[in-house]
Amino acid sequence: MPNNDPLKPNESALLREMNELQQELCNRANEHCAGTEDDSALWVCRLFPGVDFKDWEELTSKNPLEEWLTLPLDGSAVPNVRLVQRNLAKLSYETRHDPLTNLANRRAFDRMLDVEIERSHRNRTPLSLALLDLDDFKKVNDSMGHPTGDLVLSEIGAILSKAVRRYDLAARFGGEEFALVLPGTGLVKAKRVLERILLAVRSATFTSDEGNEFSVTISAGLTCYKGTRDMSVKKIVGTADEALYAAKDAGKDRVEVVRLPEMDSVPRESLVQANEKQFLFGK
Amino acid sequence: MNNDNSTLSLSILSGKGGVGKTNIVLNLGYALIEAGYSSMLMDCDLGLANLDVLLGLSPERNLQDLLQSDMSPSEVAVPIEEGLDILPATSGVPELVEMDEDMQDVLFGKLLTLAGQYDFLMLDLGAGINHTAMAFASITQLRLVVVTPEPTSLTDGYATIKVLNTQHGINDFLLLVNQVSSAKEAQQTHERLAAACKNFLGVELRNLGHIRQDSNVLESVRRQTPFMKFAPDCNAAKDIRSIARKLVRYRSDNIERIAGRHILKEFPV
Repeated sequence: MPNNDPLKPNESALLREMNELQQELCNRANEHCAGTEDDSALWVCRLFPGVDFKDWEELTSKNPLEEWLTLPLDGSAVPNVRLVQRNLAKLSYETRHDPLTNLANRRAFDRMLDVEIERSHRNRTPLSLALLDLDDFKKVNDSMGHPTGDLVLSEIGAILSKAVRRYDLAARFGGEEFALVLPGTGLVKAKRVLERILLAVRSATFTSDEGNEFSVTISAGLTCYKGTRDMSVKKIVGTADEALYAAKDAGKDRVEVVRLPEMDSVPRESLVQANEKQFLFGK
Repeated sequence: MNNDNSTLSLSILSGKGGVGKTNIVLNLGYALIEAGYSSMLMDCDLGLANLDVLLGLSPERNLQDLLQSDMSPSEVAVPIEEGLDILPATSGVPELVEMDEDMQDVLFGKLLTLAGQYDFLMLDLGAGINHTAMAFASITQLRLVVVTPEPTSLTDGYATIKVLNTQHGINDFLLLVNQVSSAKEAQQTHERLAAACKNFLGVELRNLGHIRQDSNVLESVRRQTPFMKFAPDCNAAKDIRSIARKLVRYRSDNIERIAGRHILKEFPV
């Protein structure tokens, strides 16, 4: 949480100097210096008497200084290294999660789906994918305002997180669209999970800033990969998207399924045709 | 990789399961010993380690161990009789087809060094039209398709030939008709299938022979003993002997040609 306490004079001096230095060295303010992994890269050391670790910790919590490493001249460097590690963990979480809903983001989703497709193909286990989209969400934003809209999104995020098992993945796909990856789950089970989610969304009530109560619904498109043929992330997402469109077309607040073709690993021309069968069994 | 011993490689496949493929492979091995020839059977029947079951074996090692250690192939092979060894491959086979080329080379190098010590290398392939079975069928010198006179078996056998022909460009096949009531029924089955192959695929299907229905076969399976040993004079045993003789003749007629070819070709890309 941003803290608006005024900086101590030496802290603001330090901050100003670091920013200037970085700008100077990198030429552009918010970009990493190129070639820092090069052994010949310059180490810039500056002693700052009067700034202790606690001050530094506070400074980094309010300013984007994650790429700086401080070391004490005396005493243990462990707290400083821990701070870097904590920042790393935080940044790594942020690259994989959506800040509003705390669900996985698109990047994490793409990576996991790719891995799960491969696992499914290898083990011939089913893999279900659902895309969900809030119905008429634009109306919510327009009439209740964006902060209320954000509240709805974050509540949907909570419902989705609760509905899935540890090895499933719930992701915010963008805007008001969400995705569920359910490894080892076939159509029947996946559909049950989705019906539960739809019910939970339908039953949730929200209050606008003006104090009006309202509720929302969500539509879901579902598809399932059985692992029998080669599959791409694009194809499986496209198929789930097709199912989502079908759910919207059929009147929203429902689950629709589009099946993936599984048999085309055997090309059509290699199937035994009727005339060939006649030849085999004809009199 | 040369083939100094003129090892003849043969894959045995069928469209439909339960046509007696594995039992034929095993007893063919015994018939070849009788005729004075050695063979190695490679169990590629995916998921169903039938060769083990027919013999009541439970091998400790399989093909995959060859990759993971500096083990020699002869340590993995299970001796059944003098001149008849089994290479239990079951769990390593699908990986083998999808393995990267360097690994495949290592494994094939080891495998072929071993196989080269035998007169025959027989690959018992799984039933059905799957990628692995098709890939293996296309790398052996000969392919033996096993069918029974049942219509479903006939159709599946035809489909197998069709896929190998249209997808892998293979146009030579041998046919074995199992569980026939008479030589006439076997002949009719071959004629029908051969005519369809010729008419629609332009593929020649040569008849290697047939095996008559025989109650001794079922009994021998129950006892986990090959029928060649359990009832060496039964009709099925006589038929297997005649098939073994044809294979031996094919090998001696073509011995120079076989020596000039690899035991197994490379997997198709």
